[in-house]
Amino acid sequence: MSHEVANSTSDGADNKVRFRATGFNPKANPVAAWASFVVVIALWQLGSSTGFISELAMPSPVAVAQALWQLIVSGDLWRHLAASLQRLVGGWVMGTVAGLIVGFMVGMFTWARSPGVALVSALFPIPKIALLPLFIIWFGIGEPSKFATIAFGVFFPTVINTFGGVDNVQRNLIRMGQSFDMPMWSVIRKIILPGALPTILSGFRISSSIAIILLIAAEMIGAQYGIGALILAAGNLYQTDQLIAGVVVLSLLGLCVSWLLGRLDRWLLGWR
Amino acid sequence: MRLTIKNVSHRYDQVEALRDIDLTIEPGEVVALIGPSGCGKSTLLSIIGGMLKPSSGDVLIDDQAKPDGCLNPLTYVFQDFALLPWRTVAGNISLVLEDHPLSKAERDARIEEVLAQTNLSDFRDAYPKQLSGGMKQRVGIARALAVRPAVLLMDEPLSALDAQTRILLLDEFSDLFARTGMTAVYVTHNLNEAVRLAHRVVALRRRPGTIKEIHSIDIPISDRTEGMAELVAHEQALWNLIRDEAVAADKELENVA
Repeated sequence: MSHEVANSTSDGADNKVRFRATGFNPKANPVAAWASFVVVIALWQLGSSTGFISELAMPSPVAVAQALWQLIVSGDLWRHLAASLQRLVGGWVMGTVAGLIVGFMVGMFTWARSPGVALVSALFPIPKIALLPLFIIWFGIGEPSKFATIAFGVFFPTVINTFGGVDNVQRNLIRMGQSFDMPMWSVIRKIILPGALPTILSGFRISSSIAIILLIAAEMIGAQYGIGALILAAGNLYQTDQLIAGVVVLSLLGLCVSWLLGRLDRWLLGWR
Repeated sequence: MRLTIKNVSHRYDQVEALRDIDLTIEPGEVVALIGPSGCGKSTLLSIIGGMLKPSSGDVLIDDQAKPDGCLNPLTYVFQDFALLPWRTVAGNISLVLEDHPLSKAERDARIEEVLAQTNLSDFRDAYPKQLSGGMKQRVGIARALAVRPAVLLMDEPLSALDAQTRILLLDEFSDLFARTGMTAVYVTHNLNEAVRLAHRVVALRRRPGTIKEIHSIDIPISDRTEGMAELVAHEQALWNLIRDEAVAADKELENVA
């Protein structure tokens, strides 16, 4: 092999070293991102218009847009959305605050470590929606049982992420703080908290999507207003256009949450 | 401040890292700890600064004299710099001053002073990730100087740097010691650093770590230059002293975490 290359004296393509490191390097393309939406919706509309997709099984994009418009102008959407957002924000904040506190204690103190990890490991795998009937018995059918379900669901992943984040703070930074005689509270506030923040914030993405799932499930079990209630009611009446409109609202809600968390990331983790 | 290490021994599980170390660090003296990996030199430095509890023995402060405005008598400079990536250069220095009763003006004055001493004034608002290794270690030095330490404890401060940067910083350390008469304990495995900076070089033997020999270098630090014949001779003598240990360390299987 090496002899062949060495002996070749022509300037032809065959004696050039071939570039081999191709591929495995996907790049972002915003145009293609938007185009994919346009293509999928256009195909969907085409299928509906030609009758290939039955209107009862899957309403056309135009029908969904009309249903959404109806919900907006009648004011129903805001009523449902306001109820859902209250539950989502309230439940998520409660679960997150409790989860951060417990997570920090598990991450830092020997006495909290093993009991905390054991309890969280045992309770985390329970699908929290299975506990909703219990919460309804405890707190009644109204708002508190929904807050509790969401908060409970958010709590466990937050604990796991927070103590993982605290564990991941470089020990040498903590030792550095101690070697300068920084008081414990300063070490926590100025070294451990910011060091754990990247992990905690990525945990927010998981806990917020869990919160949305539990929100809809709880609203489907017993609520007058809320996006989950809207979707369930529409399904019961075979109003698939309204049903899909509700699902579209959920998708937009998820995108908004993810955008907000992205902003939070950039604001708090600008140093990275 | 005079530090007396009295009868210090330390064990990690089965491994006996240090045995019966007795050593006094005199005020104004730079002591280098050298020896092959696993000889316990970093362990000893951690014990000296109170970051590791020895299995037995004590480190005593005989003489409480401290520099004016000293906030943290025993102050480390770390091999890996230990800078907070979310704080700027000035913020990293401010970190170690914030918990002391200094006014904002006093704090800022100290930060400016140490930044000027380490030629970092133009980098005060830079983040660590923007800095080269040498600059990062200058921040580590500036942070240590900001608390006006009585004894500087330096744990292989140049080991994470490339060869050229090492030469530059070695000159700066040499200037610092010559100018300030700082008391320091300097851990290194680089004999060249030891002979450039130390008044006394303590060679450690390994497993268990004991003092093999204390080697004095009687040339003023300010008079020492790279490649100076006497220093080369000292370096050679030290190498002869620890060569066998280094060979043994090189052949050993890693069994200490």
